[in-house]
Amino acid sequence: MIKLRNITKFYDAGAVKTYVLRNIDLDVAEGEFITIMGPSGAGKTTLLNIIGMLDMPTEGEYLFFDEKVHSLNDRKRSALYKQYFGYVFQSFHLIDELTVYENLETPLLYKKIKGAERKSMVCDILDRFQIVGKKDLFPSQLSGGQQQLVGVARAIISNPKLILADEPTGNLHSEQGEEIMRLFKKLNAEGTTIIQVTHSEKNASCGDRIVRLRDGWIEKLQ
Amino acid sequence: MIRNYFKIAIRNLTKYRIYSFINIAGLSVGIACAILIALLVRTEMSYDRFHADHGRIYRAFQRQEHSGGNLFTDNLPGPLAAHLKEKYTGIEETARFIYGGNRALKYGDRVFNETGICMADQSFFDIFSFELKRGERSSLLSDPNSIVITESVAEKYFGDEDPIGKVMTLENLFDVTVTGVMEDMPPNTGFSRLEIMLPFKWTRELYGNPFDRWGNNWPRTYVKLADGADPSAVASQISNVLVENGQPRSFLSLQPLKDANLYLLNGEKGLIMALGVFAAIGVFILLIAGMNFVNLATARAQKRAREVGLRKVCGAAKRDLVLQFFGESVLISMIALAGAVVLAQILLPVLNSLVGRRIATDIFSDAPLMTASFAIALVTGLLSGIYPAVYLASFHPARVLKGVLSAGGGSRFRNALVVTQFAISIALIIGTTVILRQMDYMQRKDLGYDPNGLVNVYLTADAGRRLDALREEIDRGPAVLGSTAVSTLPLSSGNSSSGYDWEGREESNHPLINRVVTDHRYMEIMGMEMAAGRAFLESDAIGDSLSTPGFILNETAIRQMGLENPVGKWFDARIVRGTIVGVVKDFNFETLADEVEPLMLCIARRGISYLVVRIDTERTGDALAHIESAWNQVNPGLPFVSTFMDSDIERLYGQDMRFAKIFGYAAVLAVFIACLGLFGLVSYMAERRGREMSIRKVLGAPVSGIVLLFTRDIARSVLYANLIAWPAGWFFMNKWLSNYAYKAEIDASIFVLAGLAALAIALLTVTFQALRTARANPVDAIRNE
Repeated sequence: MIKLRNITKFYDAGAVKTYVLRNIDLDVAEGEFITIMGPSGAGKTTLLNIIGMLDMPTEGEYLFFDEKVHSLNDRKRSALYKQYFGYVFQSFHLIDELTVYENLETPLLYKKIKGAERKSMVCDILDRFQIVGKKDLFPSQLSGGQQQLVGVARAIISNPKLILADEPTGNLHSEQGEEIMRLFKKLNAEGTTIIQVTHSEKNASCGDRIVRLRDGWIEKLQ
Repeated sequence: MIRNYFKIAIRNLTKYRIYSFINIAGLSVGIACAILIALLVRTEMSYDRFHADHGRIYRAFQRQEHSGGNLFTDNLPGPLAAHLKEKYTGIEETARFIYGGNRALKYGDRVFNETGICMADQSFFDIFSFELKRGERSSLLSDPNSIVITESVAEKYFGDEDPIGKVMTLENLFDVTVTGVMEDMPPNTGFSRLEIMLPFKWTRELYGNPFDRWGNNWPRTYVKLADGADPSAVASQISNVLVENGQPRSFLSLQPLKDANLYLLNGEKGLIMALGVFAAIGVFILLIAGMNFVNLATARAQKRAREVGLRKVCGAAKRDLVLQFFGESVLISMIALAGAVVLAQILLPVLNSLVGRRIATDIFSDAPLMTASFAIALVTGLLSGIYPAVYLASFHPARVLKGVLSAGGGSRFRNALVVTQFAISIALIIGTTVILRQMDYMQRKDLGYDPNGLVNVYLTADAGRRLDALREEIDRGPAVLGSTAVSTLPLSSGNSSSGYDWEGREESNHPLINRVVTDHRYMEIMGMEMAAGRAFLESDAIGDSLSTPGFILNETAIRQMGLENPVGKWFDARIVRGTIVGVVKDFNFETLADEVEPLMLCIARRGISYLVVRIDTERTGDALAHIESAWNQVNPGLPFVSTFMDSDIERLYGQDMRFAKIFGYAAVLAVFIACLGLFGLVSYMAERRGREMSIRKVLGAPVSGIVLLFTRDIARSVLYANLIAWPAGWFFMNKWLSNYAYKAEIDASIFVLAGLAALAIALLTVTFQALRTARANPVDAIRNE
């Protein structure tokens, strides 16, 4: 599914180049559950963002189903992204001015899904996550765990092939965190590929493989 | 999707109320202003275009070549109209038209002094399609004793009665029969004063002049060309018709009716120039409001950045977001439009009074205007939406979600906009100040006579017959110092001619000399000084068979005539020859826009139209009461009309004063909107830099230091704005002042004061917010992070 070859990312801060990622080679097959780990500043999030097409590598090749992502233009990349990706953030990141229902609806809008179908998809997911009663609340009226549930729900609502999760449980109580991880495992079992960034060994144990980063290098592939 | 955008837009608007208020209020005021200016410009541009054949109607005018330069005038000889129609092809119809002055009109016991009396040939109503409410168009003025009145006049005299066939009395002497009732003049016609129309032959009775001779230029002549006739071909055919009929150096031309309100007869821009200025002012005010929008939208970009990032993560392309933000700016401009339309309707009476006539009463039902307003709002929304939309939509999701957004982003751009806003505001303040100075200058300038304490009594033809009795009665009054009869008030040029002759005239010298007919008290009553010779004596009168007529000329006339030692030389006023008995010092008998022109004064009885009375200004009330009672005693049943000379002079500058007021309003609005924006900007700055300010405070910065931090940038922007506004203001105001022959000085103080005023207002706006931030408890802001 994903082939990263020699991916390097650096920022040009005047005379000094600050390297974030160096020569990353990584293959991800469909249906895998991969965990990226490493200390702060190791480049975990940057790697995830590059895979998620939110960021571009400075050097290297990125093939997604044999499509050369690094040389696609903005619109094609965005189309590809819309079709395959779902994103979950550490700090939930819901749109404050939209209700739960509207937040869930947003990705569908951009996929140009028609009204009736959209409605049934949103209702399905509300049902599945058991948050039907919260659909008209604004994010600020929800607890952290509930917000992250919505965040995950929004990531998977359009049935993405790949979920990218950046410390999805980082801001949650352990119980809430476990619930999210159970959800991920279930999704993975149903065939969704998952790549998560986490500090927690316990969360990592849910996955098939662990990529350990240090100072931008892949330290270890397990 | 649209619904989603709409919801979030509305929620954002209600959540950030100050921001929304500033944007909507600013845009509303701006758009309202644009609507009113559009209304004004449309009215002025549409003058007389409602006549069915307006494209074929022309006003004839002549260019007379005189020694002092060209005179362009639409005063033409009476026989011209009939001559043109008869002798030249391509001319379908012609009509003479003349204003009739003040006349008493009576029906039953109702008698009024009518100022809207005009006289025209019967064909007038064939050329112009004023709507007829009653009567037969084909025979409106065919009876020599007919009269046509407007609806308002009809109501004034007849109430609900049918006026047709009723007999009215003109000047207490002549009976006329109502044959038609026409609509009231619309606001967009050059015949705005027309209320009552008489057949042209009445000029004989009312002016003592049938206008049947070439060489005597007074009435206007309107020409309607035949369908398909080439205007330039007709114009070149008729160019020499005046010369051929004994008026040397006079060339006839045609001005399209649609240009009559906008261009001067010499082809120069007239009103159209002012309209251009107003339109520019409208655009400037919209610009300032639009800049507020841009400024505030980018200043609070941080607030929206997260949403942008998230939407991108949800699959939004940049285009989707640009569209969303465009939609928001258009939504805001549409809300502003609603406010603007209401505001414009509320302000309509102000505009009507500024313009001095009712140009509109209800803008809601004015479909073209509403469409134009919608277009203005849409364009404003789109234009001011471009930059924020593109700016916001291009945020990088990975970065904004991490919370890294350069806080100072676009601040230089915002400063540039603030500078522009204040440059416009300051320029408008400068403009207003210069115009007001010029107004003040014109009111204070020594005119060469003393207009204070002069009362002008309007003599209708009948009253003129009893002039001696009237004057005797008035002069007897306790608060009356004396009176003099005149043909023309010193408010405009009246009769003029270049056909005079004098002792020692060079063959080629034909200066155009104005003529005022008066009596021997003129100099004394007006308070004028002689430069040479003596003032009039009673024996200088023309028609006094015992002595030679005496003439007095002004200094400019003497200069243009090329006379040295003029006193005692003979002067020939075409019909009578007499002696120059004195030279009066130049006095301004027209507006101060014009240089003093050559003037000749003589004493006669014919042509007297006013009695100018000098009163004791300490006892104005007594004097006026006495003058009126004297009038009623001598002229029972005739309406009494009088004006003060000084207010007449003020009225001369009505147009300029209106210009000044419109400018002033524009300046106030511009400053107001710019300050609204500034207030919003500083609010965001306070929010964004709240933490910085708190840390500074914890480190010991005094309140004044923090206030200074805020005000420094703003002050700098306003000062930069002066660098643009000063040269622009100087250039344009000098250009404007070049319209005046006598002008006020533009000195540096005007510029400095305008700049200081803008600075003071800006700082006042900012300081409030700055103080609030500076006084806030630092702990709150820091803990917040």
